Amino acid sequence: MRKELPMFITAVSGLVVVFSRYFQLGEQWNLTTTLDRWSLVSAAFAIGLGLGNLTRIHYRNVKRRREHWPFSLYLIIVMWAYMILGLYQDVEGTHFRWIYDAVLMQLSATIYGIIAFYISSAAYRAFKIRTREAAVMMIAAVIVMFGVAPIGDAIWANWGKVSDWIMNYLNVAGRRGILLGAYLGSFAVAMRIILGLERAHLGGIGTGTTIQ
Amino acid sequence: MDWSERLQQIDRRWIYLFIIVMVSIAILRPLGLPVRITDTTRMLYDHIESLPPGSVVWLGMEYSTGSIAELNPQIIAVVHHIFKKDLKLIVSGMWQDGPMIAQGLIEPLAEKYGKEYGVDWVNLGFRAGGTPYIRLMTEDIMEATAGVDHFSKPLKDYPLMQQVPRLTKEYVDFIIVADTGTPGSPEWLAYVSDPQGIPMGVCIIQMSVPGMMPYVQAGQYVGLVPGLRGAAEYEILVGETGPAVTGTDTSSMAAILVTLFIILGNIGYVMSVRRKEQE
Repeated sequence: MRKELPMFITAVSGLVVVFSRYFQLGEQWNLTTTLDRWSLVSAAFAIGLGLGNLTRIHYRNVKRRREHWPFSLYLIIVMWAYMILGLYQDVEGTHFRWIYDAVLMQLSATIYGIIAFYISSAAYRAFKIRTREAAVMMIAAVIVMFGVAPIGDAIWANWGKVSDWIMNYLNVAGRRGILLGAYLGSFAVAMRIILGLERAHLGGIGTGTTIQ
Repeated sequence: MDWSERLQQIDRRWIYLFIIVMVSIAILRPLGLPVRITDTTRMLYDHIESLPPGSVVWLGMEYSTGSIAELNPQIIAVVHHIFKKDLKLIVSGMWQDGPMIAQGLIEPLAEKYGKEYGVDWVNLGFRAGGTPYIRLMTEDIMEATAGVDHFSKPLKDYPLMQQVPRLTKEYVDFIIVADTGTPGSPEWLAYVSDPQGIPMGVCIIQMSVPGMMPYVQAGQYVGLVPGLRGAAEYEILVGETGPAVTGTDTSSMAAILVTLFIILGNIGYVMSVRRKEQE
């Protein structure tokens, strides 16, 4: 029953959405809207569930003094304290907002900013003209990089046009192929899920395997 | 270690140091290089420019705090334009950070342009659920948002939300989505913009531009603001030059430096190949 019930719910939900999208009667019955309502309520519950689950896991880490348990303790304190502060003050409360602006926003932006250093180092190591294909990729990358930065236009007035041509033709042609392939693949996976052939979404039960 | 190897194995810490020095120079002493306006940015600008006063623009804030360096200047420039044109603005978010970020950016601008919350703009806040949330808004905004805004205040009290009961073409004239991932602009396109026939434009990080260009070429996005450069272009178009224009100088410096390192690495590589051939 642990396998069959989720598979049945998945199949019925999938068929309802397909029916609603492709048949006029389905649209009249407005079945997708009902599913959307359920989905919103489930998502709201999932946040509470996640909070509870995260607390339980990290509480166990602390209780059993597992490796790096102080970080688990830190997570529990910060998570609950910030949530209680938010409930007490509301999302735009002075202290809640200050912590958000001064800590979370700055740390996240810093971590993202660090990527620039890694990309620079990686570009230096990766862009070697070992093969013709690698040379083409390197030249295209340098043209686009200078096309995006104003220095490209300062060096040569037509630099931006060349960069735009690469982005608008070579890139779009490749991207369209990838997108079409991905969408066809998604359709195939969706059909397999509806038919119960793919069970990865059920978590630990037969992850990624097919029913023989 | 000979020169060919040295050039190929420059310690990464030197690269990091040069990057930080060059970027700092660009920030402290901007080069002031002219920024060319790209077609996609102008397309978005022109579309907003063509909207009559009082039109409703919907802003989907689908990004987190990691992308604020690139996307915040874009949002500021676009909101300048929206308020200058006397358009109405509704903000929503499938990402929990989006409406929080939006509040911090839009509030001072609304004050500057004398725009009243609830009358000229509303922040609906974050709702869990992803695509079902935005799809449900096409049926009933009150139901999808549980009838409250970012501050948990009832939406029915706001004149703007009384005018806009649904996210449909009848009530909303344009959608702008600022995004960095999923759910993001492709979801808005598939579930709201295309089915409802509402024109849509996007504000995205530079890294996402190649992936979004097919949608622009197909006419599904009426415009696209690409990364920090796009923000600088929009600042220039709207006549509100700010941090993005200075920021583009940093990308120029970084481009020069990265290219120099790539050239050095390749000189070293060619030298080592030739040496091996001679041996």
